[in-house]
Amino acid sequence: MIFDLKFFAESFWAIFCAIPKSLYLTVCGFALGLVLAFLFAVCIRANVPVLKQIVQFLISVMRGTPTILQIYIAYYVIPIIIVDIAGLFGKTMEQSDIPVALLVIFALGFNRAGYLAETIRSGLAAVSKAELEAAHSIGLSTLQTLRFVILPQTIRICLPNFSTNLINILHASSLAFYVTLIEMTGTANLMAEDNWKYFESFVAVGLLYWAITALIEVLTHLLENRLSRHEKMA
Amino acid sequence: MRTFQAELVWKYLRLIIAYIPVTMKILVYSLLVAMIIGILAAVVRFKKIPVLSQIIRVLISYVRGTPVVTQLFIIYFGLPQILKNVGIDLTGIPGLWFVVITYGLNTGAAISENLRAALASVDKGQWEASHAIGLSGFQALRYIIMPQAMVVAVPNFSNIVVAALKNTSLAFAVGIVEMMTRAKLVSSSQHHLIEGYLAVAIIYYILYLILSFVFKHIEKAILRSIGGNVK
Repeated sequence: MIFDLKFFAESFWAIFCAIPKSLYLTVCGFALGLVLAFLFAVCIRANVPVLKQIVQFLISVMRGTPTILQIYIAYYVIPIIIVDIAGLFGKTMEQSDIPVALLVIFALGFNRAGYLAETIRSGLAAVSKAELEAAHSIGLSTLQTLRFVILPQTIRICLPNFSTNLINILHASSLAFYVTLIEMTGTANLMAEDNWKYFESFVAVGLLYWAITALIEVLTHLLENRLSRHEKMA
Repeated sequence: MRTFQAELVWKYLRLIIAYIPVTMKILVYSLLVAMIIGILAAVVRFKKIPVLSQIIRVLISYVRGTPVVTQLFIIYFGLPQILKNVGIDLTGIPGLWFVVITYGLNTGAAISENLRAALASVDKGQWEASHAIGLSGFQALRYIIMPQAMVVAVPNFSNIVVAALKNTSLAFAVGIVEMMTRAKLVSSSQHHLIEGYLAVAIIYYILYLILSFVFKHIEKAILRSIGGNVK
């Protein structure tokens, strides 16, 4: 039989129900990545002597090693560190107490932070110093400057890159299965192994990932158009 | 709980290095396939050939919209299944070729998009000017357009190759024994997985640094030879 349509429908539905888990990993990983990347970008731009080199080295490592490796290392190393630190505070903890999702989110976030840092750096650089001086001269505090002057321009420039990175995290989350976390790809694998029908279940999961990716791209396009509305009116 | 033994990292390093050739084989073969596919696809889409253009557009969208592991599984399990019904038996073929096909498609899509963007970045006036002085389409491409397109295409190409290197680490999912698999095999028997992963991470990082370095120089050489602005 070329294609078992009934099994395809079954796996499609099972994987569809697992979408929230994948999205949870993706969104949390992206949020963590953004925060870290922002810190990294600020570190590099502020030219802090030793920290800048360390950050640049970290970014280089994150971009140069495979994602699956980073997930494995996070999965094995971080619980040990956390248990040791907890032991210092007198609290006994088992390694299995730490939810795997957290470790995967950590690994994904760190991975993407390396790429996002470059994006944010160029986004921040796009805001000219003259604007910052003007904002200061009319009495805006640092936080207000950040909110009204820097962020709007930076976000508009970074948006296409953000969506590419979001899509990449979504694809990377498919590797969580290899550290025993079941999300979309994991579900596909489980269904396939039970019935020995890999082709059907993986075509199903492929279609679903494709659909979500297309959705993200469409939403980004709409967001971009809305944010650059004022430019068209000129 | 077993303690971390740093000497083991060195020991595993030497065991894993023996498998660099496998990774390189996957990388080089898939890049060759990818270059052919990428250039063909870019040409087809650029010339807007009627049906083929849409098919390639859909394929590229699929390749960029699904995770690499999913693509790997679909081709590794699906291709034999489909071809079995046409009468071609693929059971004897080593898994390596399925991996090369998948990565060839994946990287080829990236190369095709890269070339398309590079060609599109060249001002339309260049084409018109070259036709005005009597150059044929191919001559215009070769002498006027390509040099300008290369300036845009080459930097991104190094990103694509680095991504291809990282993709090879996923071949373990279909049972290919390359560096990742080797790392897991040598270290899991002694329950020192962390040292194993650290060792293979060091190797990947060094390969990444070497590739980046080599590409930076290739970039400079190409830009210099076409008279571009070399920083």
